[in-house]
Amino acid sequence: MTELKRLRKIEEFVLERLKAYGLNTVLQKFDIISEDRMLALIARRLPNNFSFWQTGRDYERFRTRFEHGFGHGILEVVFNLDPSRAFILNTVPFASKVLTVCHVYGHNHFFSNNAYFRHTRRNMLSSASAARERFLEYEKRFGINKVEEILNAAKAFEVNVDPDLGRLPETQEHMRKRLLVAIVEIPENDQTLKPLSKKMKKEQADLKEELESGKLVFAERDILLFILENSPMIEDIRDPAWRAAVLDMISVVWEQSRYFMPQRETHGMNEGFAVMVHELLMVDLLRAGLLTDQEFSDYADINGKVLANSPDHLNQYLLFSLVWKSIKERWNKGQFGKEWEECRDVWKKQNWDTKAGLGQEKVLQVCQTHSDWRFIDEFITQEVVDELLCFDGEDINHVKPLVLKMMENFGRPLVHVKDGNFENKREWMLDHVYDGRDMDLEYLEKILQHGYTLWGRPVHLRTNVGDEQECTVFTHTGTSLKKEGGCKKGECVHINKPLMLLK
Amino acid sequence: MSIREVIGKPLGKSIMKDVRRHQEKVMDQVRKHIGDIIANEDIITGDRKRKVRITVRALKDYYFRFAPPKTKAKDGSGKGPGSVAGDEPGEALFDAEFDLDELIDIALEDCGLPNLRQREAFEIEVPKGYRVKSIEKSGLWTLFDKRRTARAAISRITDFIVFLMKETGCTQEEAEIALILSKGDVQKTYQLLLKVKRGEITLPKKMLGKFFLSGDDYRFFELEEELEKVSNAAVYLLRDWSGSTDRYKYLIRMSSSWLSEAIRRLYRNVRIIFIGYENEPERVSENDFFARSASGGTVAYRAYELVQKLIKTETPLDFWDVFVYQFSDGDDFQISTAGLRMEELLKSGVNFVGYGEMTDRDTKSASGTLMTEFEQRFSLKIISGEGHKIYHSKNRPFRGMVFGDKKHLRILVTTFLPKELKEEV
Repeated sequence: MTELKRLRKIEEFVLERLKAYGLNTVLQKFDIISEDRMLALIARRLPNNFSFWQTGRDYERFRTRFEHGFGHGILEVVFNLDPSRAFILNTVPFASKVLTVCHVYGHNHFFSNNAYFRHTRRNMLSSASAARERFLEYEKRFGINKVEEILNAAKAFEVNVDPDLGRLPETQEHMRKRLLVAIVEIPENDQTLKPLSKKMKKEQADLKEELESGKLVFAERDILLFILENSPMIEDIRDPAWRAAVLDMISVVWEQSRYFMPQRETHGMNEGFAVMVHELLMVDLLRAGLLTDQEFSDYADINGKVLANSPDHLNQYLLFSLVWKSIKERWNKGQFGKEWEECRDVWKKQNWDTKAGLGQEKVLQVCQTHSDWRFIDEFITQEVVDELLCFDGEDINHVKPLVLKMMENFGRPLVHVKDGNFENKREWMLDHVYDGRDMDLEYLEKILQHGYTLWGRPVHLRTNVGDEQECTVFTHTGTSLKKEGGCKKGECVHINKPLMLLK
Repeated sequence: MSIREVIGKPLGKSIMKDVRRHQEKVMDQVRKHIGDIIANEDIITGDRKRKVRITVRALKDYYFRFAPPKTKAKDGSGKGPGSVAGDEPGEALFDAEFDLDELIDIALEDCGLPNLRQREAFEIEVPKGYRVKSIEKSGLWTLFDKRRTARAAISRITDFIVFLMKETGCTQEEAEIALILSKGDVQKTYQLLLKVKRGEITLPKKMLGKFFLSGDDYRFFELEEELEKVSNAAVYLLRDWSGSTDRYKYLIRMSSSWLSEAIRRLYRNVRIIFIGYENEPERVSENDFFARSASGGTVAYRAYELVQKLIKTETPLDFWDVFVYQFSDGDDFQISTAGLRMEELLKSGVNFVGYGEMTDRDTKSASGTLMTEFEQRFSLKIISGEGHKIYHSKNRPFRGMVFGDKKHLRILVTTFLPKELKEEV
């Protein structure tokens, strides 16, 4: 029997087992491809995505790593589409291909059930390749340098889109309308109603003017969207074709970033879940006689490398698969609820087993509702921490905030747009929500330059540097970066009005 | 549920386009930092034909990120937030390989001998690239001419078909199909067509076939180097090898060898005359020029006198373009005489004089050097750079440079070999 035939037979068996475990998956397609195409795919992030120099760089970097045999190689790529598409490398051993098939079905279930993926577009492929055609056209028409400048800048703000995908984002326009409702106007000649106080009258008038003139901008987390809607640079472009191209390029980057957002937000859970699924299925396959002993030991070797427990590196695959397993075990043994939490008897707790058998059910439920951050927040236990070598058996109360902080906003600083009309000059004010960690100033300079490219006017960013009590404002004027210190905490003059953080 | 193998499909052009674009960007970076790259001694003194590996810092994409921890704290030890490793990739480096020739060419972009005059006696030949000399039937595969080969093959096949139609009385389509079936062999085609005519076999009605190339069809370009003839040029390289220059020995050797290398690459048949001087100047061979050192005091004006003498006897200015380059540490016993002689030299009509002075930045020997003398005498304009100074003259073909580090070599080459001599402000 050829490998391909065996693989198809194994897939049939896997599908049966999946049903038995209660997983519901969408149609899955596998392509077995050569390493060149695999590396190109990973570099491009979507098949036939738009052409960009960073893709070429990533391709060469992956190729170098691949050729030097770093890590365990790249086993699979799976895309959240309908039907789901996955790619398997043809040069890996058979066991590894089987592992990939099982692993991909884990992802498939996760994609099609997790709440964060509900609003993602499942026809990204056609949209990406259409964008590719358009971008090539722009390159011809406007020159590659001009196109690259915009793409470079837009890509710099890639992660700064609103990850809150559970609901549709409220637009600035809508927020304005909503607040306008709160403005009361009492007719002056009506004696029956109590007139407003002078102070209140003035406040209301000011607010109304600001809301109607569109000067007031609400703190916005989605920087790219804000640029698309408000950038004076785009407004100032005289050539309508170029303006359309710029809008198109930024919005494609925004769209793809939003498409990948749920993946970013649930990456650890997703991988951990897939690891748990493939571990289950591989054992089943061995028992059913579909895998030889040799192949199973090959698999065990690969799996061991994926889940390597290292003292100087936190392996996310390992962390999350351990937490998943601990959930399953705890709910199987009934180690939850009021009684369990209140029990102080260590011996009793160790042998706690109510034969509840709710493990699989709980796993599937968590799969639907959680993101990485909430997952770790809710389910990490001392036992899991003890197993990870990099924490050296430290206390959970110490480790948990660390891990959570690492995952907050994907480990990136949280930056808001504070004002699109700073000091009434249409300059751009960004605000870093400082949490004790400094920003990388080298990167800051470059990204503010990118910000200038997209905004076309000076860009300011308010942050804190080191232990300074005062806030620091960096200003990029297109040619140079200025640093200016200033105001005490809480009395910042750079944000002249108390703005509402509505999101 | 479907598993299929998609192997052997060629990789799309698109990724290669991006790869090329990235390489272009890397090349731009190399161009920018060529000064640091050529400052490596082994690049200039080593074997010319080998490749050089340069570690290139990968081009980054920028985003908001936290400052990396200053000291590598043990992960998870809880020294502060952000000490958990693994969420930011390290700085990516990759090795790129370059031909040494390519690097030197990059370094010498926009360089040339200034003020070349049109003379009657031409001798210098400047390479201008290649042009097609002729089309040959054999040659290198890299110079394979597809269009002419195809044209030759088409005309040959057309001849065959006309011939076959005449001989066997078949139609053009039949002849073509028979030619495809017998894989371009005329003899076989002829036999086949005869058989068809006799009714022994029938030919298929339609057939798509290949193009058959025979040995006679191949065409190759034959190239020829294109040379432009420019007037005679002589370059006088002066080196101070007195005892005081001992500590700059390495730097002087590097800069003068770079300069002579650059001139030789840019022009063929240029005559370089090497002169070393201390108390007495001496005309030496190239090897001696780089290898020797002496321990006397320095008197530069005698060297200028020697240059003037040699110009008169060997390279008269009516027929030659003359360039003088001098490297020294600036110490001299007869500074004012040297200035006077230099002025005479410039007045005599040489094309260009470049004077490089090494200084130790620590001691800052600011006064009493040749450079200060020249500065006052020729009222030079100073442009300060990072640790080096460039001196421009308004009306004389003179440029000076004060430097003290090998990282200034690239600037030295571009300063002393400007294509056009115009004043920079």
